[in-house]
Amino acid sequence: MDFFTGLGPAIDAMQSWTFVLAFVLGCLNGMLTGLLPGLGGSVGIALMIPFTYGMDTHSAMALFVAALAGQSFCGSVTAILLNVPGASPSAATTLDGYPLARQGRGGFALGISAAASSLGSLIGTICLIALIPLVRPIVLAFSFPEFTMLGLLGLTIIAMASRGSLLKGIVAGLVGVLLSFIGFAPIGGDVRYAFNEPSLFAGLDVVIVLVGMFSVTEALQLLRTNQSVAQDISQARFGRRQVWEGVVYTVKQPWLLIRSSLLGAGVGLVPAVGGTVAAFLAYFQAAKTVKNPYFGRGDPRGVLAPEASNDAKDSGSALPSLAFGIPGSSDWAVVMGAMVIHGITPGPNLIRESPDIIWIAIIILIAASFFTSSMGLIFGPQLLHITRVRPGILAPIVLVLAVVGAFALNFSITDVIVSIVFGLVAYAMRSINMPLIPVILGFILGPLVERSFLQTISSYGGPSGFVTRPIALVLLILIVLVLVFEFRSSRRSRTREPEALERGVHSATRPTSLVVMSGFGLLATVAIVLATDFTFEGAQFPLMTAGLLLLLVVVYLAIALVPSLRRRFGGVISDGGSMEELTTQMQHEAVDLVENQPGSPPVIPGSADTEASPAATGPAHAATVLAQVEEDAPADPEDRRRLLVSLGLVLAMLLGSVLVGVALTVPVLLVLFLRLVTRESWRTTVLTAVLTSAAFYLVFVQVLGVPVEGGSLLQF
Amino acid sequence: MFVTAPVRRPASRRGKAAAIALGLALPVILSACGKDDTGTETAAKSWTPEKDIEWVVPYTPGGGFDTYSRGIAETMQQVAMPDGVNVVVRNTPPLPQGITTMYTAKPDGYSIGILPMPAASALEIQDPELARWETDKFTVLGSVDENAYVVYVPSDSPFETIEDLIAAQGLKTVTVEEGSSSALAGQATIAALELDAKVTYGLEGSAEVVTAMLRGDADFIIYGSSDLVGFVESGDIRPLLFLGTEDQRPEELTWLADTPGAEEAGYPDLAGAVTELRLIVGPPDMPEDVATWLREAIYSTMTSDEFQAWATKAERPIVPRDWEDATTSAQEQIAAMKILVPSLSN
Repeated sequence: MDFFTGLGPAIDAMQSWTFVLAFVLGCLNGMLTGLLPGLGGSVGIALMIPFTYGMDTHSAMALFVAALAGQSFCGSVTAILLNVPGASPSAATTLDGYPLARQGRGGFALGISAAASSLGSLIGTICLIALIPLVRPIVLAFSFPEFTMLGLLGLTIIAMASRGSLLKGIVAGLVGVLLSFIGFAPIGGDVRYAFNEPSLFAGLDVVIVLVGMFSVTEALQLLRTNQSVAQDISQARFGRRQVWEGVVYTVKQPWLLIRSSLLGAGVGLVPAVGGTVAAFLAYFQAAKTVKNPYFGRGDPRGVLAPEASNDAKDSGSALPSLAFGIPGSSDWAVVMGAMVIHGITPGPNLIRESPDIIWIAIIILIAASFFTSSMGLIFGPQLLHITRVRPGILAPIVLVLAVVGAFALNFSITDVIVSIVFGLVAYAMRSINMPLIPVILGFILGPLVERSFLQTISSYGGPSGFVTRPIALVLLILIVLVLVFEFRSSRRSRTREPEALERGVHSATRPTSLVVMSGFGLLATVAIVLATDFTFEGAQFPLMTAGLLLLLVVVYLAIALVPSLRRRFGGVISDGGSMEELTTQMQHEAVDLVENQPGSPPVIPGSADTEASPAATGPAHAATVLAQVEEDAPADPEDRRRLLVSLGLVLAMLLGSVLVGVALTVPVLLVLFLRLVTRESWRTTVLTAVLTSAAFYLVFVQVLGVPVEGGSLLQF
Repeated sequence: MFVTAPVRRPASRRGKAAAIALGLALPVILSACGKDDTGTETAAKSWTPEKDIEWVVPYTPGGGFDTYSRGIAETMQQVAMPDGVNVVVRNTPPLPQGITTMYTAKPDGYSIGILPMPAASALEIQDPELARWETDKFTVLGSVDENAYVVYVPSDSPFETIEDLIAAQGLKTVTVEEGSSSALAGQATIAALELDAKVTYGLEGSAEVVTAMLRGDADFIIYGSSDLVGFVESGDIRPLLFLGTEDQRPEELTWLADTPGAEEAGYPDLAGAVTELRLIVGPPDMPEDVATWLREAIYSTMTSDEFQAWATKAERPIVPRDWEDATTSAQEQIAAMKILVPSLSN
């Protein structure tokens, strides 16, 4: 059957109520799993498989593909409104989406996200159709050396994501890479850093790391400052109009939209690389082309690019999945498994024998993206109210959601521990101005680079594969160019005022900074010692990563502690290129907080007019800058008390989950958080705890069948 | 302490499935009781599952073991399970963790799984620190398929016969992770045929292995006969040598009928040396009444018309065996691995 003749039967198959129902169910499943942190898309899809046993093949296909395509937009909703990405690709959206939400422009960001998602999906799908004849040569052109180079290119994003404190960014990235080595080595047969604990054999799950790092840090931050997400909460800024503005804004940026979508589809096409790289590459291509110094603090284009790219990637990864049976992403892997159960075998024969299935996949990819985006536009204004909820109520809910979500993934208490520990480490990192995004990038890309590097060496008998294959060579040159460009531009930005430099150095040499950096040095040392037991192949990358990490930490500490070195090389460790502005404004912030009644917009310090981005994000821009600043130490004793109590309760939550199980811990901890941290009234406390626990029970236990009871004490 | 409430299912399907299940399960249970004359007659009558049975798959969703498991789970619900009780597939990769989960579960009949052989046995011998189980202690419930290995080359390969491959120098091949049945079959074949081949490990799944060969990263690959059907039928790859014994040659795979077997090629020891067995097991020391019910239910499922229809649709050959035959096959494999694995690592 010719490929295009499959369109007719596909459309015929769609005209049944079962099909439409399956499509809607799939979209709802995607939206739910997208919104709940922890439950990545693949889990949601796997849960649906038994429900489709009695369904016809076309409807089942509609359900699975809709569930896959429906989740990416919803993952962005929490990324924008709460700084908690639902899945790793949405981490890129937090960079500018959350600052927008803090300015009270969350609706605008949601509108952009919805529009960019569905248009990105459309552009990606057009690419998909155009590339079907070429899929074979494209997929076969990428081998081990090219995978290695693509992974390395992704890692260079770390340099760009470090935002002025390059050294700390690289340290964070190396920590991420090192943590990704936990579990089975891809080659060599080692089980690394698992301490004989079977639940660590598979390594840490990226979703768990992500949930811990972002949910816990954000919740602690909200509790400490006791400010709701939206800082500028004038009523006029809320509502449908704001969401619509976002849609209009997106349509007016066609070139950025097309560039980002093509990038996403291209990355999706290469198996094994995945959506996170797609989203971040698009984000940084936007950052480089926009040339707005405030990119990263609430530029709408920073939301548009990763969103379009992420949805376009789903279409791109459909190609290797359907045409070769190589899953383009973990979500596609589950969808492919489900297809096999329904008698469809993804692979070289599918396009020839069942083009109707491919057409259904194509149409559903676009339709599901449009459906979920429309839902986002309809319910966006309601969702926006999240950003106005009092932090004393919102933060505990975010925290318990993280714990239950982490548990629900594998029903494993180890995941809960990992998630909370990561949260606390991430909070320490944030408090010394260390960026978190490099950890995620390192964590995701480390294994790809290690595996394909070792495979290149094994297959080509040496590193010759990297320079003898044209695509690998082009990628290698690209990596070198990006790095040279980054180092030059970071040196240029370091020629700063002496006072500004002094402040940056002062901030970087605080005792907290030194303690946290020493902690990473210790981690690296332990990693090196343990790696001596591994096989040669299994030890190479851990030794390289930990060695480099240790070296950088030693350099950092040397510069920080030796006065003569500090005078000469202070710029290397100095915090943030734009730290000077931030520090000045930070001092104003304290004044503003005292002078302004809670609830009224803060007075914007400094030259708000000249700082406003050309994208007209409004004078609220500077407020975001303030929000991004991490103060040296909580100046207010009340801030300090709230932080300490919250940290204590997070530890209690960890212990409680281990000892008496999640089911008992959640309601008790909710009550404690509400009463102790922000001293809510009993009425609010009981109401919030009961409603939240009930909602959790309904979603996780009743709908998703998660066994929440247990705990090591109650087993006896 | 798991929640006993069944997972919600659409009401209509549940009712229908329940009716079918009840109708079909009763004769099975009755025949099980009637046939059993070892004194456990009353005991066998006393056990039927009252809550969901968890079926552990030690691999990620989507692969061969997962597909077979879900096929059995689906059919078992139709033909053998009591009303309101389901078989719930749970994926717990990686392999050692998944097998440990199966091994250490309570032997109460509510936790069973699919065990990849001979990988489980080979792992136990190779890496006893990691493999904390004794393969021969599992309660064998049956086996669903036996997948012999095949040497494949790309369709446009210059190698027409296995002799061409043996004569060649500086060959390359790729396979999945070390310790898997496929990697083991590859090692055993390379050693037996004395191929001059360099192996690259760590690829993820059959499609990636084939793609790597098609793009030139391997001159040949060794993979299961039922795993790459699509690529053979599309004309991308062709079989060069069948590594099973002649009675392991699946009739459904017509393209394999003319491929020479290891025996006729002059390597009788290689024939069937490594054959993937998809064994269905429970934890050790399962009470006889529980094991009997599960064995009967699983065997009646695997031999039902419904399962045959599923296998045809999913293009998966099936070789259902009852627990006694399956135990024999498993024991043979364990004995063979005790010789093969040490010889390969030397």
